[in-house]
Amino acid sequence: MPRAAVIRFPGSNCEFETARVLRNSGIDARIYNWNDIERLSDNRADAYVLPGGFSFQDRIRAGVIAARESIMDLVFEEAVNGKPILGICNGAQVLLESGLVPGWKPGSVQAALAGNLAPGRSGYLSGWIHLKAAPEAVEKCPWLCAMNEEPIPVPIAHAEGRFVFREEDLDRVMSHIGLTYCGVDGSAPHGWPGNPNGSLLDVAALMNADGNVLAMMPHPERSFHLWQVPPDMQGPWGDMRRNSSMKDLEDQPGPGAIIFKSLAKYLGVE
Amino acid sequence: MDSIQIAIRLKTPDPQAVTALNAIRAMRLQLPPLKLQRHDLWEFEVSSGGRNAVSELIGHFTDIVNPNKQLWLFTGKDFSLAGEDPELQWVGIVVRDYVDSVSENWTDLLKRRGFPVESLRYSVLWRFGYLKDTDEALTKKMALDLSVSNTRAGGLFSNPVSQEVSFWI
Repeated sequence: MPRAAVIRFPGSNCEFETARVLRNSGIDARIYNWNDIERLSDNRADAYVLPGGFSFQDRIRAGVIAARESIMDLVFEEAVNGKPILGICNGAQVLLESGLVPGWKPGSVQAALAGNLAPGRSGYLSGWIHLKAAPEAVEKCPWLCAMNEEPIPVPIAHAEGRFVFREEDLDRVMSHIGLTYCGVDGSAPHGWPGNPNGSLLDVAALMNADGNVLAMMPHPERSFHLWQVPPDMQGPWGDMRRNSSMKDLEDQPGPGAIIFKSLAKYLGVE
Repeated sequence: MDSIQIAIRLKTPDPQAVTALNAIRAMRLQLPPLKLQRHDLWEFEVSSGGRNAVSELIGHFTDIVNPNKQLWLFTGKDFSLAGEDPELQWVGIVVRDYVDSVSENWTDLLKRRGFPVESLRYSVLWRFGYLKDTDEALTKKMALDLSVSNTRAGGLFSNPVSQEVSFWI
């Protein structure tokens, strides 16, 4: 059975559900503390996940302290070796502050997850949004390879989730887009609330050039089961939720499961 | 139009500053600061009332200054804080987001509430404390080296893609 390492920093708070959904997808997931480098180094995993939360209480800037921890040297090495790496929310912030994404020059900070920008609102936002995968990302990203063109609803919960790039990088960043925010029918969001944080190019997830490292702000582990979809959700996933019996709700995968099923497919899980 | 600037800090040791100082020590710099302070910096452009107008609006919003846990003062040439170590010289950097929804939304809110505020700008001031006899040019170079995170192992206090840094004078 392939193995995944979920790396917990002080302040991470999504490690248990992340490990659980990986296990439910047929992957042996274990949680490693940020200072458990030797144990992880001796037991390299097939994939790595940096979960959501508030590593180091978001002090100075979200993700910047965790990015400097020694365990990120190991993650860096594994990323360069092509292992699948996923950062969810705070994990995405760590990946950007590490210079792994977009990674034109690995180790250089070339993008930012800045404070949310929405009309009349500042700070933390939480809610459900819709996402769709970029076709190029489906071809090369192990975390998206089972997706199709259908949009999926996934929750967000962040204060600093606005992808920002230098103006001169806007062209080359296009080939790094993994997921974009969209309307329930897959159409462009045209600003808030479809694009909840003002991300440039409506980016919700960004990957490196090889596609093995993905930094995504939404939380797929929180929509792994169909019962997690709100009953008033618009679109086909909402219809499925409303039309399901209690038994179906227990068994049916939710929209976020596709991220972990993609990894399972990539790692050859039957 | 008057430009009024205030600095706000915690009454207790600031955990962000403690963490930042630890991170700086791990960077093994030639000359790490001995002390580090963090302040919220608010700059108000007021059409009338000057400092009195700013004092009044601060009294209305604990989101700007919470008097239970924070101290504030007007900045200026005599900027210093009670209990500040007299043996140290201080060099400061100001970190601002290029696009800042906090400033935009507070400007709108204060205007709607009838305060004479034309605009405001929120930023963060980091002050590095060095021994008094340390070469001033060297302290500034160290502050500059710390200010921008161009690489994972490099500077600390700003992301160059979304934030700007200036020396605080």
